[in-house]
Amino acid sequence: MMEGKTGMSEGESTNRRRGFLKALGLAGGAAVAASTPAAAFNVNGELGDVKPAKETPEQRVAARYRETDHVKAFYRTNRY
Amino acid sequence: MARMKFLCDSDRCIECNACVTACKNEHEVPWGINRRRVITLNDGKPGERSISMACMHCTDAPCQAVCPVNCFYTTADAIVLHDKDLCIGCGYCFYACPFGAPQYPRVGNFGGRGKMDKCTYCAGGPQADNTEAEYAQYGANRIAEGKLPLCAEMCSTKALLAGDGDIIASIYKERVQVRGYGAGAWGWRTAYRETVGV
Amino acid sequence: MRRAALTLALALPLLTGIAQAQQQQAPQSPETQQAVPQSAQPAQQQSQENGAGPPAGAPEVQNATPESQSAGQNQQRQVPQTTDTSAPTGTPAAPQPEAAPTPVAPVTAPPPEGTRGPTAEERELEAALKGERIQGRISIPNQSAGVLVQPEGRDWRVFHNRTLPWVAGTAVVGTVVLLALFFLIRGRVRVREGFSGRTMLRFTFFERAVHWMTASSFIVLALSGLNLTFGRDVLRPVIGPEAFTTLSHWGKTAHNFLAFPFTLGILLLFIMWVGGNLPTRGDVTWLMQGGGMIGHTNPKADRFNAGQKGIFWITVLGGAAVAVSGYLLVFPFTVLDVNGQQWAHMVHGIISAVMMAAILAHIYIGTLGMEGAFSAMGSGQVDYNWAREHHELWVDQELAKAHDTVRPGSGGPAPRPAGAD
Repeated sequence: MMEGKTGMSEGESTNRRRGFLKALGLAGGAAVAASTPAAAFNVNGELGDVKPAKETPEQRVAARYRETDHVKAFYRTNRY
Repeated sequence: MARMKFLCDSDRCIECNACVTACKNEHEVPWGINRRRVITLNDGKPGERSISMACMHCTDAPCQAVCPVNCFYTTADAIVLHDKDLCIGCGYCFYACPFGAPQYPRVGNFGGRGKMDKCTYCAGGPQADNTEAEYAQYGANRIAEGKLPLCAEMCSTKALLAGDGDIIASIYKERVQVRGYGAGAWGWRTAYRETVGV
Repeated sequence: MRRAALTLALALPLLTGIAQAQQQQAPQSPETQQAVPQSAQPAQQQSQENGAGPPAGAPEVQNATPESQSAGQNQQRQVPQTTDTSAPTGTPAAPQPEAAPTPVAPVTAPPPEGTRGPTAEERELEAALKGERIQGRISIPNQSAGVLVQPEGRDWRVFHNRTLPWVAGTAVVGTVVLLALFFLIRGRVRVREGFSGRTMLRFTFFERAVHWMTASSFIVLALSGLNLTFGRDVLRPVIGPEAFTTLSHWGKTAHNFLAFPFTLGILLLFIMWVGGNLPTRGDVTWLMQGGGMIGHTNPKADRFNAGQKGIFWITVLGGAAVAVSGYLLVFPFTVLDVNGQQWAHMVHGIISAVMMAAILAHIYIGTLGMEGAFSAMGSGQVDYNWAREHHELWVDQELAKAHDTVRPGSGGPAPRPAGAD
């Protein structure tokens, strides 16, 4: 119906737009794929390729909870 | 010594499932394994309550008692964890658990079970703290980082409380006093053999 | 751009068309038009409380409905086209308050009407006492996760940790002790007249093969099953956690897979031998006389005596129950829910314990307890004197069959007259 601003035909501007968006999508997909973390959770409960680091029986029952500032902030904000 | 507990204030829970999403994301929990879930009682009727439920880390844990290979252990924080290297995927812990916390990836004989997985109170497992090995088998260890379980930290209405049992009980009691009513602490009678007086 | 213009072009005629249709419909229902304004007024007034807005009654604010958008036509209408009132719609906006209201102490909201039910503790206690579960709605596909609390798990734990070890332990250890005592007191059951040296066929190759397939499967199934109940306390402290897990893992795998030959075996045993194991009057006599093992009686027995018939029915019926419950356990939650699974486990455990006791006695009598018995299943051949002493009626039947084969018509209790048939 109308001519484009730069004087391109309708079909050509469509193709250019689609090409640009495709490039954008592919780049985004590649970025996502590259950013997946190396360590992942194994569904079968096995270690997989990861190096084991088993704790001794004394280490594994040791207390780890500490009332840090982070924890104290949680308690404070939950009293509201 | 602080005794870790969960308390879900069912008068505040709006069933948004943020706790579920937080847990799944933090530990990359795969499809089909529901470490935490939200259950709605009396849906649509007066007295509707939603409760976020995962492993309650019971006193005298039934799962620990019935395991044929004794793969469970309780830490000094009263967190109940288990060793996936020892688990044989027999399923007895699920039969014994009153809350249905154990989950199975269904990769065992005839697609039955496989090694059990459950809420770890964001305290990992018997691999060294915050190593790749621990994450691969058990997920993140926030307790060792000095934080609290992510489900409670992410709760949108501050319904789900986690931390020192005495402190969260007092928080809940304050709330009940201020607002004048409270449904009580779900699961506490079964898991900890005690109640929060409301 | 073109598409948007097209849509608008299509819409306008539609809008005007609707407006025209409304005009035609309006005069036909004056009653409803008059009734409506009263109910519409409160809504009008509420919307004007927020401050002075456009003058009340302006059609474009009152109702953004298509029929009023063509503003020029409004003046021409006699009767309003919409449910909103045409009369002056209320006062201008209320004046804003000049000063802040005086603060009032907050009043604790009373609980919403009808929502104070039993507290969580009360509900849990009630459910635990009644053995009922607390469950609700859940939004994930796994609907069985909608169970909040299942108190039956506590009862099952007591069964698994206390009842089953006592039953299975008593069954196994008690039977061994009783058999040992029996052996020490009674000794081995000997063939009274000694071995004749002549043998006869008791069990064919196929019968023996089925028996040994079933028997060897049962041994592994029983040991791996006992390991699940007792291994943690008996074996794990000895060999350590990792070795015990490996053993238990392979034991469980063997248990799951050997279930299939075991089930096939008891099915074939049933088909082969059910005819010979139907109860007869002679069984009562045999049992009353203790099978001849106690005292000096010598009751006659068929191919299978009453003791063997007991073992047969325990194996077949018990084995069927164990197999069914076992399949439900190895394919969990396909048919049953968690309570059903708990029941399947209880049935599986108790009946297995009973079967273990029976099979221990069976093994004893077939090996140590009676001389000349093992060869029945070992080679298939038994000594003639042994057979005559313990299964006389069967020997008579076999001899009759043999005579009949060699010289047709001469065998059997009622030999056919020569030339008959």
